[in-house]
Amino acid sequence: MKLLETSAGRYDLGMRMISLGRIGRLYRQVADRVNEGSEVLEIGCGTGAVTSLLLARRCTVTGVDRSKQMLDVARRKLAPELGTGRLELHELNITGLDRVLAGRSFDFVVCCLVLSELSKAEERFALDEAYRLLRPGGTLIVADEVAPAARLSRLWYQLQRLPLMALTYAVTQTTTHHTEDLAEKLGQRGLEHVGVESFHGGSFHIVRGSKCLQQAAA
Amino acid sequence: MPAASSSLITGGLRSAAQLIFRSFPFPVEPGLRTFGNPDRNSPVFVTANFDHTVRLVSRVLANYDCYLLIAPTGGVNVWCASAGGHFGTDEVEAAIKLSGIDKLVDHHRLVLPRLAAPGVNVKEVRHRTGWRVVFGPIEIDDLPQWLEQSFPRLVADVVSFPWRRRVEMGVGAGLWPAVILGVPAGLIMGWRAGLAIAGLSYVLSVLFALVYPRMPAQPGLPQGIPLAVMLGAASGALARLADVNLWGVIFWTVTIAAMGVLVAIDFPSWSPTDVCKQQLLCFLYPATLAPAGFLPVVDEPKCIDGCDICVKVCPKGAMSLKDNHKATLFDPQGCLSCYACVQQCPVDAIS
Ligand SMILES: C[S@@+](CC[C@H](N)C(=O)[O-])C[C@H]1O[C@@H](n2cnc3c(N)ncnc32)[C@H](O)[C@@H]1O
Ligand code: SF4
Ligand code: SF4
Repeated sequence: MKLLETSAGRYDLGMRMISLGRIGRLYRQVADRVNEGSEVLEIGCGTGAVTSLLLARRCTVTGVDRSKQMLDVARRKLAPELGTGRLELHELNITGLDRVLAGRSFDFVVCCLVLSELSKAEERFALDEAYRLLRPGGTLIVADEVAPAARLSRLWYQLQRLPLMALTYAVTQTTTHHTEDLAEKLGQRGLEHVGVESFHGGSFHIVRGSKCLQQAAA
Repeated sequence: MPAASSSLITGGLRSAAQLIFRSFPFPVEPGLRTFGNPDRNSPVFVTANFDHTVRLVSRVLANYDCYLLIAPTGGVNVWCASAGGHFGTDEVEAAIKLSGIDKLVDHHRLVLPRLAAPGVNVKEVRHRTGWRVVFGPIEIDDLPQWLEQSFPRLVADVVSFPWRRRVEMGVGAGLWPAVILGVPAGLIMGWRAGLAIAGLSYVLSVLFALVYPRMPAQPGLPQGIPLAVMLGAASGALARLADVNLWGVIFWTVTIAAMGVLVAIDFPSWSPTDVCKQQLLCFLYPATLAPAGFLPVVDEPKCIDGCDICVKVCPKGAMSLKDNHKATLFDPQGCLSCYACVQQCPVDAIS
């Protein structure tokens, strides 16, 4: 989705078009998995699409994103909420999370459509950091593109993506990739009750896991 | 096939692909590389995650016991990334944290490539991570000499554009006119004309690269327009002689003239001696830290007497100290608007 981020102002519209209007439903699915009124860290909040749904669920949200342009759009959209003390936005790279949010912890960490933009090393760092920032009993929710498991739909998925990938590369000279083995990666970090839900014919996953309550003592 | 020769072939293919598609990023995985048998005092170098750069740097570092941190710069080379805001403080912080280097050495000193100076705020890196940054030489081939004679001091160093590099860049730059003109030419006049235009684009681009330092006019349109007129007239005349119809004469005149303009306005963006101020065709990475045409101005009362960091850090040697020991931009023509002097001034006296 890098293509759309270069013109952050058109990001929301673009996402709706590319997903043929389905993105709104996915955002809602992600937000619905966060308990009402909880304290949430949203990594890569972008223009605040998920953020605003979380705020509507009376959550307290800390949103971080490295892109000033994307955050500017979020600040505009969420202006009324910024004064209420229920929303903070930080212009921050994932590798700065440990520095800026040191000592804080959250009921939920949400990461929607971000991991697919990261290198392997950055993804590892992001997941480690997300895990660390969860309070015991808290839940990590990652939502992202995956390649469908069935061979035929996988092929179809790749074909569908091809023109978009080419265009994205031509304009931003970067690529995104689908994420892989998210459930396993959550499990490796000691998250429990890991669950995967599949949307869009298997091309979009919401993966959740919760941090064990005892871990605090260990 | 033996492993050695097959890796030679893939290596060769990769080099060829990267030569032709030079303007595209080739990212490699960021993180840590180790050379030789480094210990807790070994030097730590940093570079961009552009495959070509990493390979050049690795070839030199292979002679040392050291660490190399590859920063996530979007697969873009050091200078374009740093002047474009993709190799800055955040990326250096990321390189440190993604590599886990903190656990491997006792010192906290990073050697950065000199051309990362426009983007990296040294004080901020130190504040965030505790690591000190020093800048090495511009060319990786000068690293051994710098390590021996000057490490960790900043020494004056300016960019050069020797003919071998110019030819390399000429080949890389040829892709644009070859595609932009070759494809439509092929569609309009048939594949032979398309191929001819593509081939001529490469020839012109390389020839232009060779004579580039001796071009009489300023880079950009001042070079492009006369070149277009000359090339257009010559090819129109040739087409007449070759007895093609009127439509053909127009086609060749216009296409070759367009080729001249394209090559002339694009090539400066491939030249380290002009790059940042040529933003005409830099539309793919329009973001530079400095606004177009920026010229640094020194706030004299703030400037520390006799400090000459900006003088040394300027990759064009465009700054100097005046008799009153204050810095000034003495060669505005040479200034690239790269932002290195602004970024590296310890007291923020330049803006
Ligand atoms: C595709 S957008 C998704 C935005 C939002 N979560 C949504 O679903 O609409 C990805 C976002 O991740 C951010 N991002 C990518 N890499 C990042 C990094 N290393 N650190 C912080 N943010 C990053 C980008 O700036 C961008 O806003
Ligand atoms: S004087 Fe110009 S070229 Fe030199 S460092 Fe400053 S901005 Fe860059
Ligand atoms: S770097 Fe700053 S303080 Fe040092 S000479 Fe230049 S302007 Fe003066």
